[in-house]
Amino acid sequence: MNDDELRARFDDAIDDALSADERRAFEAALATRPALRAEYERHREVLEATRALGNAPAPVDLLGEVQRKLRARSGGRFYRDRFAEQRGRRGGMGVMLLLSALVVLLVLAWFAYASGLFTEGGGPRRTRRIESASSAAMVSAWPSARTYSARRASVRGSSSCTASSPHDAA
Amino acid sequence: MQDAEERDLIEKLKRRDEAAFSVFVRSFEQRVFRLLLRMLGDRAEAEDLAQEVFISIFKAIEGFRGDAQLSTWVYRVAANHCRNRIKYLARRRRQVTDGYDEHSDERALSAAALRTEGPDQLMEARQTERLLQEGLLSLDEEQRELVVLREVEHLSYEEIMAITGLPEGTVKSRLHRARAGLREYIERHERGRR
Repeated sequence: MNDDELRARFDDAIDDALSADERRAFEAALATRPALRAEYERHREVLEATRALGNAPAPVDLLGEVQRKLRARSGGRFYRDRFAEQRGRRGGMGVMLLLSALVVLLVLAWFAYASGLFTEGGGPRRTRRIESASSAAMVSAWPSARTYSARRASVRGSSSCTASSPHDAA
Repeated sequence: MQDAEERDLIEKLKRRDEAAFSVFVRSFEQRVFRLLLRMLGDRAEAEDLAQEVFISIFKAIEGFRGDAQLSTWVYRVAANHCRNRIKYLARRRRQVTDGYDEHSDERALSAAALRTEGPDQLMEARQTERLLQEGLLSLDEEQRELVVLREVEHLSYEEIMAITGLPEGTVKSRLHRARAGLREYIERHERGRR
């Protein structure tokens, strides 16, 4: 057996595809050729290391991603997200409750307005009165405003001018 | 030949039974992902393609005639997708090796690390794995597929013939050249390091 014939048997030897006689002849030939023996050992080591590449684990959520894509591409026909749908329904009920409460409040407000709670002796008019009263109080409290009112009264009332403020006196 | 359990699973898959499909994905995800990862050398691409493989199986399971084992058919679908993706990536003028990120295989490497004793061995295991992956990517696509199916997936020659559609002699001769090419690549790079 020459070197190339021996090399051609490397894979069969590694795959355990040699008969007992072939295996013995192979081992005997390698025993007399240390360089080829080293080449064979190296070949075997590389293939053994390659087998260890099978340890790569798949992504944890591969199934979830497949389901998500199937759901999206089938328009929700497959792998419907029932949990999200339930959550969605619950969320929808909340919105409905809020809208109902708003409608009830609006109806109550309309009844209150229609029954004259704000218009007759109440709300808006009373507010206006309070506003005018407070304006009058402010005018009377303000010194220069008081002086201006007095001067106007004196102009209207008599021709003789009376000093009613330090400014007028000056 | 399929056993009764497999036939039952296939029938459920053909009826679009979602629970059965989930069981099916769980039982094949490791095999499909490993094949794609070692063929593409890119974890993100392998993840994306694995999803596409299962989606196309979900759609095309009716076309499975049952004349082969389900696993053989699944590998065939995955290998076809893989060849198409490699062509697509080549069209995009993107070398697959560009995408091989040394950090993308952390989980794969950690599995190897479980068997190592300390940081030195861990480092060595990582370097060896990286070198082997690069060596795989240096092979042409057909040789790489045979090495992955035989060495990484531990499939028999009969299964490989069924998946690739190649005759036994072609499988063996191509595999022999591929193994020799891989060994030469490793030796060349180890000599370069010294």
